[in-house]
Amino acid sequence: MRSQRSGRRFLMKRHLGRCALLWGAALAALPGWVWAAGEKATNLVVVADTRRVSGIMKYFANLYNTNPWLFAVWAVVLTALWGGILGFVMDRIMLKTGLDLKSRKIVEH
Amino acid sequence: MDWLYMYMPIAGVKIFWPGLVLIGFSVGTIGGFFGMGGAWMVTPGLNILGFPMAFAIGTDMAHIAGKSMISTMRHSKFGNVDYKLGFIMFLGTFVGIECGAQMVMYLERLGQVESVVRWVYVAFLALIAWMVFYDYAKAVGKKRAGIEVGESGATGITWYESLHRIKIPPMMYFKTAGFTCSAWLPMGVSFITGALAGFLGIGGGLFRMPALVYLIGCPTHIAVGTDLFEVMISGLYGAFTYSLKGRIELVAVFVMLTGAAIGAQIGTVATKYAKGYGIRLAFGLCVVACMISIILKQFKYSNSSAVLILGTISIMCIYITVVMLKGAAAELREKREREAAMGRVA
Repeated sequence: MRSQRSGRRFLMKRHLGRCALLWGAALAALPGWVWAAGEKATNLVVVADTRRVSGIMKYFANLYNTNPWLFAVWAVVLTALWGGILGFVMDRIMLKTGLDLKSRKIVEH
Repeated sequence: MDWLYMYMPIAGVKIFWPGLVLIGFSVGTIGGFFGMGGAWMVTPGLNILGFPMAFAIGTDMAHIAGKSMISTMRHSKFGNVDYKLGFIMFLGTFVGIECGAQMVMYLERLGQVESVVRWVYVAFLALIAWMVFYDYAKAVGKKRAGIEVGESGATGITWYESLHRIKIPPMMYFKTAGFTCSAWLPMGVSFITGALAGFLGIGGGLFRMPALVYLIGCPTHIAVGTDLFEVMISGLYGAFTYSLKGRIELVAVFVMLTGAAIGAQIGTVATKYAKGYGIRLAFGLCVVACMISIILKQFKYSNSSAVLILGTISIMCIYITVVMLKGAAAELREKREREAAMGRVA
């Protein structure tokens, strides 16, 4: 009985190991993969016009021209942050409506 | 009226910003209700507003990531997101997208890519539309005959029941979705939908949502939430790669997200008041509209195609908003009556 259980555990570990290996391989190859779909994005040589903007807009327009890596990191961080903030604010507003926003009944038909 | 136009420093164009808010709102509403990114709706909209095509896709991608985040947060509170299933499917999607993209490159070398891709897209959309309407007709038939009415009502297509019988280890229990199956099933299905997405150059929500329902066996509401979670992760990565290539207009993303935040709440909350088959049927109509628009594009009727897409978006938005408002009003009325009755008893 015990040997059966340990055998099953061994098989389980092996499967999990394989899954982890696949996952690792997928992550390693990630940059080339994700959104490889869509129009094949080649580098676009556009210079943002910094003469017509000021303040924070000027900073980001400059960053776009000079440091694409940092600009990309900012783009992701700010998108996630803005999404999170808006989600939180809307959540507060929706709570005030008095609707039950934590449960729902699944009815298919 | 100059204040209605906003200067986009990277694209170098002035854009009518209420239009951006409206696009964000519409896609937020529809995406939150159907559980998809909605790139097929945003790109023609941005183009009509005067956005250069080079920036439309990257901008769209970042906006979809942020919008899906807002919708996922709301769906998560309803208990509509199966994170475990989402992560497992994520792996298959990545590998699939790469395979699909490789197929496209092969066709590109043969020089026949565009028409092949478009017709494959049309064929799959037709298949999905057929599946949705056939499923609905079958469920209605079953309900009328009074047979096989389960816990959550009658269901039509039940292919997932056969697929759940495949017992290749590791077997996994998905608590939120409420079923146990081989981990290879969601991985395999997401690989196929990912390959299709990669091949057709789309995000994949259009295929993943019905696949989650018909092949994996998710209840409609959980399919919507889980798909949005996947769209959110891949969208964030997409935003990074497109930003790196200079194809994003950050100002437009933020403006669109503001509209999307409101739309996402309406779309997501509307799922609470809609029956699963109501969502599926409306989704089927969207798929048909998308299919016809691609056929029109293939025959060079680009304006008609854009009008059809924008018309469908408007009608769907109105439908979803009405569902949400009616449901919310009924819930609040019921709540007030309950409280009044309790007050009388006390």
